[in-house]
Amino acid sequence: MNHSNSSSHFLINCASSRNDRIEYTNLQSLRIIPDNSKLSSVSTTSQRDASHNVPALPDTLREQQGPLSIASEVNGRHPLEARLQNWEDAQQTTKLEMYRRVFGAAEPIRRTMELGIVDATDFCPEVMGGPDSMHRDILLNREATVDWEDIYRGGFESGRGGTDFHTEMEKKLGI
Amino acid sequence: MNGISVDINHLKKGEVSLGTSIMAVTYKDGVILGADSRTTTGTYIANRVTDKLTQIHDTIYCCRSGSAADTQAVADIVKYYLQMHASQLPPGETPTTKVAASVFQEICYTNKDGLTAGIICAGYDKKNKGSVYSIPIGGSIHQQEYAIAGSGSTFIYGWCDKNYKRDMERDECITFIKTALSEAIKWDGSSGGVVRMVLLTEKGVERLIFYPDEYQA
Repeated sequence: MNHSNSSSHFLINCASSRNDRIEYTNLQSLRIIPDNSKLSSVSTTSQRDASHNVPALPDTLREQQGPLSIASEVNGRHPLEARLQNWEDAQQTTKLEMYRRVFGAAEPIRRTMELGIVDATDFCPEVMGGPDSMHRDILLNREATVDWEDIYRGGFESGRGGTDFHTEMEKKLGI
Repeated sequence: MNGISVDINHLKKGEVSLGTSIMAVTYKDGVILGADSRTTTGTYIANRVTDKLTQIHDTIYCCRSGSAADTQAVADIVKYYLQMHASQLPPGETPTTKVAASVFQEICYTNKDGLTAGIICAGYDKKNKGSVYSIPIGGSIHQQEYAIAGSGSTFIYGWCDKNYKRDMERDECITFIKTALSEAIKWDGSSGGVVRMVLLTEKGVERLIFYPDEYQA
């Protein structure tokens, strides 16, 4: 982490629980192709977050997603899915890199900082509906777009599944 | 210019190919880009009137060959970058062709594992007059007085070498490109349709089109 550039450093510190997969590969390069997130090996904690008390296993009862079946989560996927999961990240990173070159390092640092501030300050528990995406949308220039994910916000992979209020607060406060 | 081979079969499954004949030639007043207009998916011609000459900036254009999707994506990114770059230049100054070509080169090299894009970037700027940069698959960059690329170009290396002259007049250069592309289209199954040209000079941009009955020998 010592050698990452400033804006990705900021992103790491301000990462919300939804954006855990940070890229280290795109340091100062115009990489436009999304990374392949297909795993080359799996373990009991590669598909779901580890439990706090038993770090080798996911917490089945808390997460309320049912028992873990690695095969069902790994098999039967479309070959493009692994790349398209990283689509938005790749687009955003490319744009920030271009801004860095044309306008200077301050530009991507500031944009990343603003997104980080929004993530850190816009708190509303999932049980109350989750944080409003208005500020984030404005920063990402998506306030005038409506997408599938804006209507169907749930789903296993949106990162919003099955956490109760206590778990959420514990995660947020790092307890 | 010796023995450059473009492997157009190296496309991802189901991709649409710009199996192509493209070229760009510097002449007295600037530079002319030329291309055929065929896009294929295997043997099916997906588009017989394609425009492979894409604008990057006011007087900077590029010829695209390889995967249609890849080259469109890359050209879009370079166009976006040049717009930002131009906005930061002093008033009256325009970006040079070299900058556009360098951005093309960096993208093609950094993403070489996932892209099939052969690009010729050519433009007119006040300082350097007309210039041509060839960026083949792999992401190397070559500045040349004229460049040919695409699957059809392999058939016209000899002819172009023999018939090219430095600082041609406008009509001379148009005939040179028209004849070269006509030969390429004749021999290459992946090239055909119309011959499109773009002239870039101090005065700006001029587009020309030549139909088969005009260029067929």
